[in-house]
Amino acid sequence: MTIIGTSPVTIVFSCIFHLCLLITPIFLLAHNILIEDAVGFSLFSFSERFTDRLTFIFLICAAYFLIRRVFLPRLRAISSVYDYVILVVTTAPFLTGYLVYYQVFDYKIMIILHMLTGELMLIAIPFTKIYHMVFFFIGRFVLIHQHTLGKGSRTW
Amino acid sequence: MIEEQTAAVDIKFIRDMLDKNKGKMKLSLSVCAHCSLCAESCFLFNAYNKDPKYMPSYKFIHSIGILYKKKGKVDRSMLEEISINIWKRCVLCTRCYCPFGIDIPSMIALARSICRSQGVFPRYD
Repeated sequence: MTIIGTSPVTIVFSCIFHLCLLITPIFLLAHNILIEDAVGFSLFSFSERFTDRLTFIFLICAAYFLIRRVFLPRLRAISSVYDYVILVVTTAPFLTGYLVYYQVFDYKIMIILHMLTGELMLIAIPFTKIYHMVFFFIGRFVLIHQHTLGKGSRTW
Repeated sequence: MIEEQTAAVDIKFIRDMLDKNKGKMKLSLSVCAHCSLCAESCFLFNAYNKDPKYMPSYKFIHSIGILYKKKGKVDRSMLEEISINIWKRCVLCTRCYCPFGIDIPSMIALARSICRSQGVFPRYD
């Protein structure tokens, strides 16, 4: 049985989580306006309403992962503080961005927090588990398993 | 045999073995996202009422993971504890599946080699 068969809910949440994580910041109107101002050109943007919903879905998925980690015995057995920190680092830019969009709390402080947490996440990529962002694709070609692309060259 | 069981652990030897395999093992340990998706691929996990202690990730985190964390500075009782995870809870059938492709059997095998080198292994006599 595949992992989609054994843990379908987690796989669906995980796919949506990662898609939203990648798509939302790249095609966000406000980000693209800033990029346009800085470099003179930018990618197309989704409507604000759509990215707003994507952010909300992302936050729900993040909450699912948190609840799963806190309550499932199998995850509690292997979880460390580091796992929670990574989840917070990934979710913080989206949470602050959401609050900024709705101008909850002080706008200036929230937008600065949004930028800082965003930078923190980008800086964290090469130094933490988040580098699976890169190794995910390499692994698909190098390892032999159910999702392999290409032939794979796993020797063990 | 009694002499072997009470002898002090050769920390330098363990550390050499750990250093020799550092690249792959450290990478595997840090890549593990602690997602628990490997759980169901272990038949022992399914057979023991889904006890988290039989999860492949639990087994390598609490064996080779501990050895790297302590940098080889372990005592005999710690090795005995580790040996439960890598012998009693794992038969090295190599069927465990990791979505990231972590080579779990090789990690368990290294932990076994280290324990065996210090005279810690299951005895059936």
